[in-house]
Amino acid sequence: MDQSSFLKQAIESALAAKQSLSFTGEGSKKKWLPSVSENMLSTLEHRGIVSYDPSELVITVRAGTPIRELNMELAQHKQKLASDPPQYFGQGTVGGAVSSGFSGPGRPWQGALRDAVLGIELINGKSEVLRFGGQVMKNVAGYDVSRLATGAFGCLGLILSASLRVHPAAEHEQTFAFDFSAERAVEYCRSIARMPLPLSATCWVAGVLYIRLSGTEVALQAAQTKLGGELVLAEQLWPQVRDHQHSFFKPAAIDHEKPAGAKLWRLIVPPASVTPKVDEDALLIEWGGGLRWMWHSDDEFVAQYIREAGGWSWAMGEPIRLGEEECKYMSALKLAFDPHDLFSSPLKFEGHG
Amino acid sequence: MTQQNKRRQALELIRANLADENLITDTAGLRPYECDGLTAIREMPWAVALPQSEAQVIAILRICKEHHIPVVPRGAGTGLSGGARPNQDGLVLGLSKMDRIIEVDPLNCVARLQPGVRNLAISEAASEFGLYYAPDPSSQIACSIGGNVAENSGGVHCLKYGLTVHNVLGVRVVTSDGDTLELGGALYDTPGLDLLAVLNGSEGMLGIITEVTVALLPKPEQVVVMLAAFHTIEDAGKAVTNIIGQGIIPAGMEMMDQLAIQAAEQFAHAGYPQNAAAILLIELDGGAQEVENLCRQVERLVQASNAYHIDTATDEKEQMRLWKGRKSAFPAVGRISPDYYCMDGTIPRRQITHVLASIEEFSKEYGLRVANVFHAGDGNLHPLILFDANQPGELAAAEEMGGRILELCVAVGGTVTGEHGVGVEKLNQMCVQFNASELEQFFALKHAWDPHGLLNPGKGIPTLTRCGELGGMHVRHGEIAFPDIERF
Repeated sequence: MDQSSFLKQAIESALAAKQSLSFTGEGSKKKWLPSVSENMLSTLEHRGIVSYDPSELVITVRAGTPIRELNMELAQHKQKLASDPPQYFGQGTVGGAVSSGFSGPGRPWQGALRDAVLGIELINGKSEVLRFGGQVMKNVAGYDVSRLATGAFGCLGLILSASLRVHPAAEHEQTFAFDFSAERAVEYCRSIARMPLPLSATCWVAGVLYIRLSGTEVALQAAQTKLGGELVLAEQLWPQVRDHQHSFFKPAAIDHEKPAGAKLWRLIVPPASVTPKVDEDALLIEWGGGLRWMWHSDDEFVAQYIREAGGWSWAMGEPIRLGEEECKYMSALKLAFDPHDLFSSPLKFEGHG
Repeated sequence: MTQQNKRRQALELIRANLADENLITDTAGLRPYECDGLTAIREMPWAVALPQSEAQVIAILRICKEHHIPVVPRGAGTGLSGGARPNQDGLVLGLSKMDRIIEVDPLNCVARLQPGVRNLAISEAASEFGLYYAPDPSSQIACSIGGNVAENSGGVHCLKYGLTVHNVLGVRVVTSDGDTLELGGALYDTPGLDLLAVLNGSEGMLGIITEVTVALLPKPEQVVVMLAAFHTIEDAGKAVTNIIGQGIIPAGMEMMDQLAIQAAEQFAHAGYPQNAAAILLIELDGGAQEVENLCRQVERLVQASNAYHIDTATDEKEQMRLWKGRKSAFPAVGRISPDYYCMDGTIPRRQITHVLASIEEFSKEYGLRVANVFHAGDGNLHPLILFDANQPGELAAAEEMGGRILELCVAVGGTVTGEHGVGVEKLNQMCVQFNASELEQFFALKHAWDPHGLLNPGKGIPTLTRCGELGGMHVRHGEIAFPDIERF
């Protein structure tokens, strides 16, 4: 259902009343984000597939469409979203996925979600409905606002709809397991990263490295002889990791195995970085080493690790910390789209603007 | 101080920061910088500075800001939309002397590069580790990575491997305020707003790129290039749709029409069948057995679309021969016509036949021949309009016809530029693709980065006044992008 005029009116009213506003879909990512304005505008009613031509490899969907619905439609045509973003067991919406910009376990091989965003329709802070990008893969007309708005957590405006690049679904998928320490797992991931293999995801958790291959039957057979490892059934593993539902992600408060007061950290580091010296139960490693989840109670320990490895960290549920100079430009960009600072977002650019 | 004295003072300050030979002010020295790859549009710059370090870039930008001197960034000068066309009162900031490969890091599968590193040099340096850099614009021998980022360059392999934006993981950028931002790195995600994404394709209007980190991919085990020839363009278009429809994403899939085939054949002797109405060049890559299977499948699909000739190259030399014709198509067309004008629209693939038929009609109407070369896999057209600038009116006719082709691209759901950028060339067509509010939003975005309007002024985004003056023209053509949206 097209609810764009209703949503536009809601933004106009908030603008007139000078009342700050934030956007939500199902709220499936709420627990990861700092709280925002009480005045929530839901996109849930604004749903449905606007256009889809499988041979063009692009689908245009309204923000409130559940990712599950989108995936079902794509599956009928043997296609899928390349980045496999978290869908929180069907609760997540397309708008939420694009706004948060989270990518799934296939990020290094299949691209980030933002890579798949070809175009968006956005209501900015002046309540103007604007279209950027389009439905074609190659498009360099104007600044790439579509990708700028991806992962902006709604701070630039309300994403009404998005055109997403889709890919043919792989004919086959297999997962191989290796009993490796965290350190050995990262080493192994880096050595195979240079080989032309149909890799589509890696995950190390609880002393086991899982490697997923996606492709044709012959490609998988050829890859298997090079990789070794034990073929395992992992139909549950990948969605659980993607949707942060694996038991590793269970909050410290209800999981007594985890150290008291531990926070869940998302560490983005160069993939070959050393593994942090912590109990192995406190680590989950994805993206061939490039994404590390860590439970830890000492902020300074994390900061020190990031200083040495390079990259950045985010304590889930807390604001993302940003460098001062970056904040200057991010804050200016937010005001360029939202001059009255109408949109309240979990992204904060403190001390600027 | 008079304006002239101020400028003289600025020049002295810039000179103090550079080695003598790296500041050019004499007419003969400035001449090579008067245009980029879009040679029809020229202007002599006030001066050219060729910094050798980021510190020099920062110093120069601070001086220019203080003295209100516009800065036009330039890489290798191979751009095709006039993005590096100088301003007569502005400084050209050439990054070609910052051309060091800082590091090839095989463990993290990245390379760190200064902006002046040539595109092809990246893959050459990565080769010893079995790695390569995927985006390969036709100008890859000469074009540089900084320019690639500024234009979000494509190439023949972006169907499978993406554009520059998909393969760049980090940049260092100096803003017009002289701030240095380090965005991303050997990292698969960046925090906060995705400044890295918006810098890609920003045509030097937001900042000066001083370092780039690119992702390197493993070289595929096996590559096969297939040439398929067709008696009609429709059949070739059908073959493209069939291949993609079967879930096959070739590494590259290029189409050339008869005039382009003939020109390329005369120039490169690639062995193209000269009587074909269209050929497809299809590159397949992957594991050895996988590619063999794919080849058989694609062969069946092109035969089902009435291909009458198929040539499959499995060894590198033969593959280079087949690609050579395609990669030299532009200069080849340059040999059969005194001048040509290269277009760069993208359309949904299903519109290929319709758009090519319309281009043929335009060609008859204007009396100008058109050679079509394009990235068929992703619908990115490069119609080359042939003309003779010495014939009165032909340049204007070519430009008008080109404009109509781009407007058609927008009308069928595409865009006025797939990979060459807007520069100065496609400013008018931007008025067709975007409405006033969208253009204003672009200006606001630009202002957030460059409040003084110092960087590459007058490029990329048309002013509302300019679009207003063109307004009548678009109504006359009867189709505008979004008729339901209010236009001023």
